[in-house]
Amino acid sequence: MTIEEIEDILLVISEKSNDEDSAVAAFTTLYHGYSKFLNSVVSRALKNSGIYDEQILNTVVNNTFYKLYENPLIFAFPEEAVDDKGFKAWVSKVAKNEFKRLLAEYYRDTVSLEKVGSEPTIESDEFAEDLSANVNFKVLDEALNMLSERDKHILLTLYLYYEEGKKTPSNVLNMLCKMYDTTPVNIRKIKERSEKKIVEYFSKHTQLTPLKHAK
Amino acid sequence: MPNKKKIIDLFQSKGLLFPETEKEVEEFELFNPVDNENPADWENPAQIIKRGIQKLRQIKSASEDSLSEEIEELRMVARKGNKLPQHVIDKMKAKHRKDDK
Repeated sequence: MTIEEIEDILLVISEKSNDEDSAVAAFTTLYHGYSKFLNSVVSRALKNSGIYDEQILNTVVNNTFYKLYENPLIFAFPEEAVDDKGFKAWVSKVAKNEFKRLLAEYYRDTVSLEKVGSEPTIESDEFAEDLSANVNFKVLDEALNMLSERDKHILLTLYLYYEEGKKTPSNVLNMLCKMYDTTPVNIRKIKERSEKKIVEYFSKHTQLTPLKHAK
Repeated sequence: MPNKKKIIDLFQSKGLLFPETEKEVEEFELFNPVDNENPADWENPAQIIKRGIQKLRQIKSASEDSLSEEIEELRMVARKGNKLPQHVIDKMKAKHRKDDK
C-alpha cells in the first residue's frame, strides 16, 4: 500500500463513531494488506521462542489489529518516509508490546510469583561490528536451531525483554524459573552458554572470526 | 580496537526478533515470504472488532509438546508389551545428547 492509502484508511477508521460501515471496510482493507506480514512476524518470533501455537499467534494478531482499530491516529509517517516499511515496523512493535503484555497477564493470573532477589543486569555478549555484515538471517537461524528448545526459549525470552542497562524484570525471570524448574543463576548460565555456542557457530560458518567473546 | 556489537543487536538487525525499524523489516522480508501465511480472520476481519481484546488461555512450550509426544509413544509400547522400537531409542539418545551439550 502507498503512504497516502494507509493515511486515508487510518483517517476513515478514526471516524468510526460517525460512519461505522466505512470504518469497518477500511479496517478490512488494512487487514488484508498487513495481516500476512504480521502473522509471519509473530509466528516466526513464537517459533524462535519455542512456544508457538495457533492460539497465541491468533491472540497477538487479533489484539494488535484491534488496538489499531481503536487508536488509528497514534501512528504517523515521518516526513522522509518513502514507502510503507515504517508502518510495518510500527505494527510489529505494537505486536511485540502486546505479546509481552499478554505474557505478563497470563503469568500473573496463572503462576504465583515469588520474590526474586535483586538480579544483576543480564547482558548480551559482544562481537566485532564488521562480523555482522557476514552473518545473514540463515546463519542466525541455523545457530538458533542448534540450541535445545529450552535454551532457545530462555535466550529469546530474555532478548524480548532486553533493555540496555536495565535489569531483566523479576516476573520474567520468575516465569522462566517456574517453567523450567530452575533458579535465576541457572537461567543466566543457560543464556551465557547459549550465546557462547552461537559465537562458536558464527566462527565456524562465516569468513570472519569474532575477535573476542567477552561480556 | 574495532567497534563491537551485541549478539542481541545482530538478531534484531537481521529481523529475527520482532523487526522494529524499516531496515529490520527489509531484512525480515528478504527471508520470510508472506504469501503462504493464513491469518485467522482473513475471510471476515470485522470479527476482530466484535471480539475485542482477547486473553491467552494456555501456553505450552515446544519442549512440553515433544515430551508429551515421547510419553505417548512410550505408553503405546508399554501397552503392547513390546521392546522399544529403534526410532524411539534414537530419539531419546539424541535428546539426551542435545540436553547434555
